[in-house]
Amino acid sequence: MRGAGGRANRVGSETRYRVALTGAIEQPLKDVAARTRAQRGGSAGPRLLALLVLLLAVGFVSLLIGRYPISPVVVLRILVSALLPATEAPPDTMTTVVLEVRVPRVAAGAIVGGALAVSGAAYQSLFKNPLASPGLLGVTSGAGFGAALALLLGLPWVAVQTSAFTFGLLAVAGAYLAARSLGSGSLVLLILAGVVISAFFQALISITQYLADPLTTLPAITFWLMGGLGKATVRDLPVVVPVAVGLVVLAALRWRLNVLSLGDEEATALGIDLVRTRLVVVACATLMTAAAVSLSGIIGWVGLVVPHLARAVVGPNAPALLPASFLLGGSFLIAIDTIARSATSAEIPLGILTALIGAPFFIALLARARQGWV
Amino acid sequence: MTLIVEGLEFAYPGGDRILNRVSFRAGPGQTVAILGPNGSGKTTLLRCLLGIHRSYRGTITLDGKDLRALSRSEVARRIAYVPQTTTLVFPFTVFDVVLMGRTPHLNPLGTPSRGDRELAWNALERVGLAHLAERPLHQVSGGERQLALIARALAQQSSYLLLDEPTANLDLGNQARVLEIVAGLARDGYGVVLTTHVPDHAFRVCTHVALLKDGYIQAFGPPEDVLTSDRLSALYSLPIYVATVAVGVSRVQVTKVCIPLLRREEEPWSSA
Repeated sequence: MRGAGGRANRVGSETRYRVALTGAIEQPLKDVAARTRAQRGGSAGPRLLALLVLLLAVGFVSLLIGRYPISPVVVLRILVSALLPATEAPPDTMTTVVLEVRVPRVAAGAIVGGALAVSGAAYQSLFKNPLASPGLLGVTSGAGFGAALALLLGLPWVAVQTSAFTFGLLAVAGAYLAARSLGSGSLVLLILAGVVISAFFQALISITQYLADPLTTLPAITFWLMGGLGKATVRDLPVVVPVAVGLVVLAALRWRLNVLSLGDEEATALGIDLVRTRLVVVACATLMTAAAVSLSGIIGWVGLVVPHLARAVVGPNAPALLPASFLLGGSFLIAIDTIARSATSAEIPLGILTALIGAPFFIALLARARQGWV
Repeated sequence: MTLIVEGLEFAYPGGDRILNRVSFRAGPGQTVAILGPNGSGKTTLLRCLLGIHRSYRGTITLDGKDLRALSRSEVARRIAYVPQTTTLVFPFTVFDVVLMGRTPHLNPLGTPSRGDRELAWNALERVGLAHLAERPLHQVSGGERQLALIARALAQQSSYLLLDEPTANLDLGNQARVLEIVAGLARDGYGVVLTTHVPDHAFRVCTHVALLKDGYIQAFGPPEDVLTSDRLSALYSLPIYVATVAVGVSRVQVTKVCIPLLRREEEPWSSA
């Protein structure tokens, strides 16, 4: 018995020794690996590539689906013949449907979805708040009023878009100036001013709806406020300009967005000029959102939900988060728009679907990733 | 190469004056503790030194240059700040947060280079936190978070460190670990300014103490001169005894501890 006990002890100590030994080797190895990863920087590259492939795939599938189904081969041939005029073109009707109806719509989905998601991601960093969305400072309410006013006055579509864009910018400028005149650089004041401006423009929208002809103008206003990509055509191409400007400037500030999310005191201590940086970020996000909304009408939820999804894929670092948000936002909106135009015989307004899908999705996301936000 | 504060006065817009004729200095290798009751103006003083409040009267001079003549990133290259704690909304890793310390050295539109990452990693190793590099900051303990924030300040490669109550909310062991690191940094040549509520810590690691009450500096000098029973009792409006203790067997450490008397136990040790 004594022998058995001694043997058991010896085995025990040997195992312990081996555990200690492997521990002594493994931990430094792990540290070296971590160090190498740290030196290389984020490993988001492959994931961003995957998201790009996702966007292209969703876009391509969306070109196939519709009231007039077209096979993948034909769509490919149409795309190739559009890019290389020398090749033989497929039948005219199919070419028209793909190039003049579906391609602009898919492109609009990518731009609008991407712009809203990037604005949302930038606002969430800036306001240090996972619940911030592009409409926080009143841009969507302002744009809504701008569009409603133009529709009420019976102006042409271009004027509706211009008016939406302009009033979107005006609303945020109003909120920003109101906050600045009340106090120096307080984020809470800025958000409060945004809430007030939003409420103000919502009231103005209600007035236009109250005054609108219930048979013609009122439905037009209501549909605009529910959002949709149905009116997107090649003529809407200029919308790319403000979106691109916003994207480029935000991309240049990508590292500062990270630092902003530490909060005012620490960001200042790290050398960031808060007032100036904040103004630039707000201006860019507003520019992008106003442009997107002027094309699509009001589409909620994308700017709130997609950045969280992107964070789950590439992490919170803005240099990876911004492109991931753009790619995912584009994929998300193209997918939803495809459902909106093909699920039923009549087109479902986009804003309704994004909310119907976005809300439960957001709850699920909250349940999964809550620990990251507290 | 000194941080000099002279005749500093500050009031919030429309409010009472918080700081009155505050003067002190901190050179390389020195550790200055700012000690004072709650509401005495410690945090406001730190915020002035960080360049957050710029509408003060008097002067703050950094290595011979006026603080307000420097841009925000120039200040950040000279002074690093360690907050009491940080609340991150998004799940940045410990390494991400330390790397943010490189911000004032970056091109305004750039991101950290390989060299920046190397420096951040070294800072993380310096505080012994390399094994937690890839953990989200909000998942590590309070003590480890404090060390990560110190590492971020080190990655900033400044000449001065400002620490806001670095030992608050830490257990006894972590308090000692943080104090050891702070003392080591002062030996390396950092000028350190820290606020604290524990006079004992000033005896252990600080070369100078500034007593702050109602926005006035009551006394400034080495802890042995400044931290007397009379001064501390006046500072906190309560009888406080300063006792000398010697601890240790092979290597005896002599230090002083401050013991406040509670009203109900005027003679707490008389029966012993």
